[in-house]
Amino acid sequence: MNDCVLKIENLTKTYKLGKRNVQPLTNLDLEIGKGEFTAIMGPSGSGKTTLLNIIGCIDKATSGTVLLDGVDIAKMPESKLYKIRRDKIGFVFQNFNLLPYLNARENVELAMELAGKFKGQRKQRALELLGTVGLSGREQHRPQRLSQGEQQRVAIARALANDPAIILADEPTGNLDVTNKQEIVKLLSDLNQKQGTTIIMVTHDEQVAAQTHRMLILKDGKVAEHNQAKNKLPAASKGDFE
Amino acid sequence: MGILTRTIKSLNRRKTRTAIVIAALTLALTLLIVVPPSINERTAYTQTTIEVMGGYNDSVADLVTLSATEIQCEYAFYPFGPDPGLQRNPINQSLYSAIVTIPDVNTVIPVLDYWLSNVSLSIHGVPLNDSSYSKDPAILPSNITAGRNLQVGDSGVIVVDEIVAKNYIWGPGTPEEQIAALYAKDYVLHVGDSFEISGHKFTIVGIEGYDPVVSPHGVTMSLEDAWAVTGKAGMASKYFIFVDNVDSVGSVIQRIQNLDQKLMLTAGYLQLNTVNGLLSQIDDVTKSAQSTLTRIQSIGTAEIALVVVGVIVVILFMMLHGVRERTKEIGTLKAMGAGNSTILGQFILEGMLLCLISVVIALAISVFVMVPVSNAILPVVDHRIPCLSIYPNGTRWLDVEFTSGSSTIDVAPASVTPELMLFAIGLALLLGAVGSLYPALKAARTKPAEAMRYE
Ligand SMILES: Nc1ncnc2c1ncn2[C@@H]1O[C@H](COP(=O)(O)OP(=O)(O)OP(=O)(O)O)[C@@H](O)[C@H]1O
Ligand SMILES: [Mg+2]
Repeated sequence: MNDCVLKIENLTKTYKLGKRNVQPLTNLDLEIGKGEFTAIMGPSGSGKTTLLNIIGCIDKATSGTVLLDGVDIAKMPESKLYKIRRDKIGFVFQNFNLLPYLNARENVELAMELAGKFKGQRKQRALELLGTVGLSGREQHRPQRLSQGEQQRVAIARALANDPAIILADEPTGNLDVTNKQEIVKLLSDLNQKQGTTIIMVTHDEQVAAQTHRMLILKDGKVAEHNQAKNKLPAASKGDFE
Repeated sequence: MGILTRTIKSLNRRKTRTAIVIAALTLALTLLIVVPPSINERTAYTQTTIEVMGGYNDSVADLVTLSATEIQCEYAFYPFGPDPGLQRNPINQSLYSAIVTIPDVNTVIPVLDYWLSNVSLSIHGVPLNDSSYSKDPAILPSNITAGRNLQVGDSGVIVVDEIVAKNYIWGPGTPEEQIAALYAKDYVLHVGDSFEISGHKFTIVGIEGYDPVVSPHGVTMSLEDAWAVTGKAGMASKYFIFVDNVDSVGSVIQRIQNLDQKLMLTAGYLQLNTVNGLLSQIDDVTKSAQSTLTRIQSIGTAEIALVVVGVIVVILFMMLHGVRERTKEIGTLKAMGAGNSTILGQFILEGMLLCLISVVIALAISVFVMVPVSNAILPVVDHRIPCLSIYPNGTRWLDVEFTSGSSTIDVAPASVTPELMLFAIGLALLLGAVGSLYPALKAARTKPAEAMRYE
């Protein structure tokens, strides 16, 4: 992996809970190459979300370096961080987190509006992206009129809106039924393969994880490669995780 | 889709709550719109009252000053006496010369009031020299409605009152009907007309308007002309005597009385206490107007303060609740790269928008409810001032009182003016911004990672 989008060295995250310290991440090292589709697995409470949040600049590392596109975001002040989130990161959440009072197109446009894109340009791209995620014709629908799978597609379109360097998806299929789960993973996988989008996805679902290039296990504050994912044969992978 | 559209959509999603908040704000802002112009209107009324009362006070004080050094001198009323035109014995010129030589006598103004029965005219002759009417201008008519008043040195000219000018004859009926009939009648005599009285030609230079509280003077002319017309040369019906200072009034009266025991002498200062009641009445009206004014201003200020606090509190709680409820949305926006200022701006805009909508509705409502609402929330003030009658019987002498009449104060009614609109909108936006500042700061400070965990 010469072309490295993300390089984490010696990352430690400590939460102070009263007198007790929780340290979900301890001296963690990780490299993610450009165009990689990576799954992170691990037991509940192992720090997956914490790691994703730190990469996504919505949480701060306690120590260590996090180079995103060559820039160390670990020490960056909030006054600069929001621009990184806006321009380099695309979030996909388990609960979709669409704005309920905006329709599909407006939800996608909002991301571009925050980035200061012009109106005409925004609309055009929003329609394109909704087409890409297979929602042509549903642009005017509000989240409540979309199925959960469709809502997650809108969220993915929104995450792609500003051409981020990396998509961070925290259990994107956690709330979906089997069919929708499959379709969302297929969509992410297609995006990765056809457009070269770099994706880090946290999942509890081994079948979902198996569709990626690379499976990592987060345990005891560190990541380890999951061997069976190394053969890069997504369909054939069947891990014995948990 | 800009930030404004987004805010409207977000408010629209929570229709019921938005409507309730707008209703509450509209109510409060309506009070805010009504109070300032109502205070101004009431201030104008009460201040006019205070000013007019001040004027009354001055008039009465002038009268007191004038009357304090004045002695009126005449013979007793004698209706069936030898001269029915005079109805009392005339004062002749020899007495005049005797009185002016008394020490401390400053001015003697002889006046001849005479009823000319052959032409049915009441003649009012006054000396038209500087010393007379600069001392007591009240010897001349005060209510000139056309032309001019008599002047120093005038001769051969007259001022006629409205009754004479209209050749009106008092008929049967109530005084009100009589006055209405007089007002309705056309003038027969005009300024510039010549008018002959007992073979003497005069030019009319002015008309004295009829005033129910001031006795008309009939035909006013110079004393010399009156002597010629009545044939009473050198005679007067009454002297107005002014002395140099109050202290010498008593001794001057004594000395005049010594000249003729039958003369009726009345000293103004002896009657001064009769005006004290009036002065204290004027003072009462003034004080009550002043206290009403203070009360209106403090109640109004308190109401404004209450509304201002109320609006801020409503916005504050509505927005705090909104921020809490939308923690996840805020977290999402932040994760998407919204800066603190964007979040801050969005919530402040929402507060301002709520106030803007409310103030526009409140302004529209205020156009219709200005008067009833202002009467409901502020003390009502009198729009009328009692009239003061000075010289109601033509005698003018300390005869001054409140009449039953009153005049309406002319004040622009409280209304929704463009200035008020600008003020109200500006203030509403300010209150919206102030009320939503803390919640908006809270929203802006939300930590996205924690917000995303929030359920
Ligand atoms: N703001 C916080 N304050 C204190 N402790 C926290 C905070 N956020 C996370 N933690 C703790 O850090 C640890 C890691 O949490 P994290 O949410 O990253 O786990 P996870 O791997 O995503 O779990 P799950 O699979 O259940 O989502 C947990 O023990 C959690 O309680
Ligand atoms: Mg998690």
